[in-house]
Amino acid sequence: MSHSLHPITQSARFRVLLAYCCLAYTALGNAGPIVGGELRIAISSDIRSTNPGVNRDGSTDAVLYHIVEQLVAFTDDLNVEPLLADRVDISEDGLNYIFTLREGVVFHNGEQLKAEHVVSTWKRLLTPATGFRCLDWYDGKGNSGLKIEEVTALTPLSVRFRLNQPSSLFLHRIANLQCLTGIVHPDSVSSDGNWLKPIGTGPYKLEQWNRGKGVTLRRHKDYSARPEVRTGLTGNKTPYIERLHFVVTPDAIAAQAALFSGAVDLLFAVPPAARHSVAARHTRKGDVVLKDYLTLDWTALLIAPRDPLLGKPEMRRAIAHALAHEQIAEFANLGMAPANASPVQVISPYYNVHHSQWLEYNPDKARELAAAAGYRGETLWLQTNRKYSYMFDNAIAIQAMLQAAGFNVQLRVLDWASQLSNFLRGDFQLSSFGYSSRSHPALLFGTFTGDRSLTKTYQWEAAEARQLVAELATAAESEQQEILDRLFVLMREQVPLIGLYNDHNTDVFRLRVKNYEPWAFGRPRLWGVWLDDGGTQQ
Amino acid sequence: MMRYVLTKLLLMIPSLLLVSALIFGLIRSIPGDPAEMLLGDNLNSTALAAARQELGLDKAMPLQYVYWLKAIVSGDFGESVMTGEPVLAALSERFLVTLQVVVPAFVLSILVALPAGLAAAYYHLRWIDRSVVLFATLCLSVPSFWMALLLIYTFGISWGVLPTGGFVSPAVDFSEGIRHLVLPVTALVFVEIAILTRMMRASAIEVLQQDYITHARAKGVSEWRVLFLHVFPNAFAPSLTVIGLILGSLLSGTAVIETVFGLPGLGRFIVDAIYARDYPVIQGSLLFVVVIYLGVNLLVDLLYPVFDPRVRLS
Repeated sequence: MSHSLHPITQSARFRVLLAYCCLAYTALGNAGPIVGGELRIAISSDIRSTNPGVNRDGSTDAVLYHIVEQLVAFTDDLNVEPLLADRVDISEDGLNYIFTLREGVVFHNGEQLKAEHVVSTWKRLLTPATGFRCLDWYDGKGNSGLKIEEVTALTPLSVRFRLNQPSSLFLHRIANLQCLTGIVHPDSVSSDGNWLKPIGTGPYKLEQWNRGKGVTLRRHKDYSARPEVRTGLTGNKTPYIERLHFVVTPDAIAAQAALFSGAVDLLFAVPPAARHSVAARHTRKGDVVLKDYLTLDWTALLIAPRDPLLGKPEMRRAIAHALAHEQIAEFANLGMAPANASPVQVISPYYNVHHSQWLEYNPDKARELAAAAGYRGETLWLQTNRKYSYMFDNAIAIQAMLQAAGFNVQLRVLDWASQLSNFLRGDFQLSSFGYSSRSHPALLFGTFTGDRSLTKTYQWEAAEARQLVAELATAAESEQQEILDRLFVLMREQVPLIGLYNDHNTDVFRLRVKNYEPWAFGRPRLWGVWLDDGGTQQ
Repeated sequence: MMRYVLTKLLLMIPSLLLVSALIFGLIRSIPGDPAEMLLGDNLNSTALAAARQELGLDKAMPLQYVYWLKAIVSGDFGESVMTGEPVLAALSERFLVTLQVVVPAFVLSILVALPAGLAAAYYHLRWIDRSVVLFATLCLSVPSFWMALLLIYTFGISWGVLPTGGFVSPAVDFSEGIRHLVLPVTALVFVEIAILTRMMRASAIEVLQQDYITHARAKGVSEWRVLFLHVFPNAFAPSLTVIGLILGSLLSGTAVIETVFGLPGLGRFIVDAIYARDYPVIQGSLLFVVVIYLGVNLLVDLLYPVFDPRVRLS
């Protein structure tokens, strides 16, 4: 075996030391974790199912990753570290991954986690009838061609995954949040293969799902926590709060009212436009706490690649020169998120000075290039929607800037389903769009780069770009930075789309909630959190 | 009477058939489909084709309609594409929530609006009349969501005496259930009261000018009897149509109020389904709403002769 992924790295050792110092400080009489109590979290829509990775949306993911756990998970700094695994060994040829499981991990039904459970979970996920939404990431039919050939239990606590080709993104994929590969007990599924309920190993277990009203989770008392400090979705995930109530509160203003009245304790992913009123409450009454953070979500202006006019490189560059990125980011985020034209997210470890350089704002140059492309003032339609306020705000700013540079741009405001449908069919000229969190920039490049005759959602068809994205999938860690830099240089030349910024969010919670920290994926993590009026002090 | 009811019930069948075809066609004429919404971020052409096949969306539209109609006739409304919930069970559950908000609001509106409208007519152009008209106009001018937010701010946040949202069934916890119903019911009452009061006032003013009222007064009949035995039944009959329409619209869901107060009722269910292009839920729910309207219309038709003997059912 050539490479190994160990749970404790040097920086992690420092974090462990820091955690022990904190514990010692706590032991000297200061307030530490308190076990008990009930926390109410507002979610804008009901969950779709309790079936991880099968029928999901953002609310569903936020609930389910408290119940199930993957073999590996993301850390705060977007690295992949073991979670249910104790270590991961990768063979020299990159085709075999051996996950050695932690001892003493128990499911919600009291049974010990074994390699056979990993095998049964993955067999189920890889069966087409299950309806796993990311099956093509692993069955050889996706863009990368990656296929899991076999999942075998080597010993009661070790599992081998055999791949058809090496993949530098394999661990990133199985740590992915949108396609949860949480290990579940076989009793989660009936004998005829129907999903019953998730019996996982996570810090919380499902207690009740009242459709339309919300979901209640209960503390997993026998949860086996990792020794490292809490980071991302791994590290120490000890649950302290007895019950978590995810309450469906569809209206954003009503959700704020519920927070102010104490009916809910936590609002997450509050957009910048709504931040003002919670900040005012914080200043005036001081009974809520705000935590701001940048996410991995990336907003962009899509330009129809095969449009007779917009497909011309001069026209695309003209549009890029007409947009002042910093001003758009300032306008849409009230100054809280920097502009970012690169798919490499600002908080990504791969983000460097190359990725902060984009085409200069120069309306005169934009006019010249547009004239050279043969633009004669034809109406350009920019699609947007009101569901995602940032897409609408971006569209307003883009329209104003393009008009100032002599482009005749009109907005077409649609409902989200219609805009999404047009995106899938490639039926737009300009579209104010957003890509949700991808942990690795390669996954984001892969989302919009490819052959459009196969999939209309690809915005970048250049052979060189496709080649580089393919290389990224198998490149060693040390080579990835260079490929990402080259990809962005190419992107600056060809302008396949125009990136704007990574979203800024705010999580707001009442004072009784302690030790809560948001993170880049924009969903709450409620292990390691306690209530100061919760119950028994640890 | 029985014959009338039976005829009306039979006439519902072509109405329902026509409406079902309209619903089926209209929802498919707007862009987007449930497969796209279901896959969301994880979309690619293979997964999309598989999802469409799984949902039967790859079949010809007339065929899809026939399958759906066949299932509906046998009582199978299908399952929600988004949640996998059986549509009929979900509809009943959501309708029960709507019912618990709408019925008290409807009864309260009638109890307040009818006497207020009658009093305003009786004291036409005097201060009582002007006060009632002013109040009704005010209620009519304030949008329901704004009224809801004002109530939440006042009673939920400033005074902190009532919950700002959520639903607890009174059958599970009576006092908590009632506390959760107070604000949404009040918000609904404010809106409905305005329409009913104005309708009742207008009808009563007209009736008060009729010769038979002058005649009754000339005979020495007390004002009390004139008002309640002669004016009220005659003025109420035209209001009955409006009451029927209001009841129909309330029962088919009060999406705005349900959204603001986080109530899992029928209105929010339908709106969410439309945004998600959840075809089985949209089709089943809208058909259910049509049945509600037809049922309420039938009820109003049957009640008409009770208040206005000149009307005969035939």
